[in-house]
Amino acid sequence: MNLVRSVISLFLLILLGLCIAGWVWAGGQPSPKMEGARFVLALSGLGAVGCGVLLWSTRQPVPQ
Amino acid sequence: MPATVACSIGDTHRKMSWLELINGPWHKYSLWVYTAIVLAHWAEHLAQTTQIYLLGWPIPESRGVVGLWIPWVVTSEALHYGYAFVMLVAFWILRTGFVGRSRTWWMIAFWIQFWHHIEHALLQGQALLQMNLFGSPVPLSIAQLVIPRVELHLFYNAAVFIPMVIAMFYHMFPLPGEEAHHGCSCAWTPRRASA
Repeated sequence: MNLVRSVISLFLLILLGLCIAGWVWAGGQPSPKMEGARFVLALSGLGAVGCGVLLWSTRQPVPQ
Repeated sequence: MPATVACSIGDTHRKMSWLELINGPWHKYSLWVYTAIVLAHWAEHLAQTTQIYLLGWPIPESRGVVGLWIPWVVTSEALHYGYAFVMLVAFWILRTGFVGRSRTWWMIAFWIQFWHHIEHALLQGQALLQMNLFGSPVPLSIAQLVIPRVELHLFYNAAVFIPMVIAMFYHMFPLPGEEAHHGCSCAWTPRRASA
């Protein structure tokens, strides 16, 4: 279970890192594009964090 | 296929239709193939944004990995639409293998992909008609009116990928009370049926 969570988390961390990098990059863009880009990058970053929290808060199944 | 026997493994699969097979004994392999395709596409978006945000490449030259050697795969609206459609169909035909909470997350991913597919259909329509919305020099989707294309499609793919992996996770590691998953070949630690 932890192996699967770790593999998924790797992708989520890459996504989060790119969202942060994109946020910084978008700061150099003209105004209407900057707000639009930052809005969806923030949503994607929050989604990645939320997904990670959900996966790691799930308890290990009890073997039967 | 009733939800209570979704994704069950049996020895009667020779009598099953292909739809029952990919949601039953072949569910694991179907999801592996589908996940590989989705991850490859997703990785291309991550590579493209890495090129733009971290390497400082100009947007038209940031074509991911495959697009560096075969530029038309990035510029072809038909290919983008085709991929969005294939993804939508795969979400639909693989849905009956999921039950309970994993089914809910799978269908959330399906509906987000449905909208994503509509956006690509709009782009493909403009490319076919050689006539762009709002007098734009390039094909334009609705959300592109306020959000740049690269960020928008990174977001769409993230918004589909996240509920999809949650659905697969809950399918592999079923929550208490969702025992219908336990007999599936996808289950990480399949439980034995009680006598």
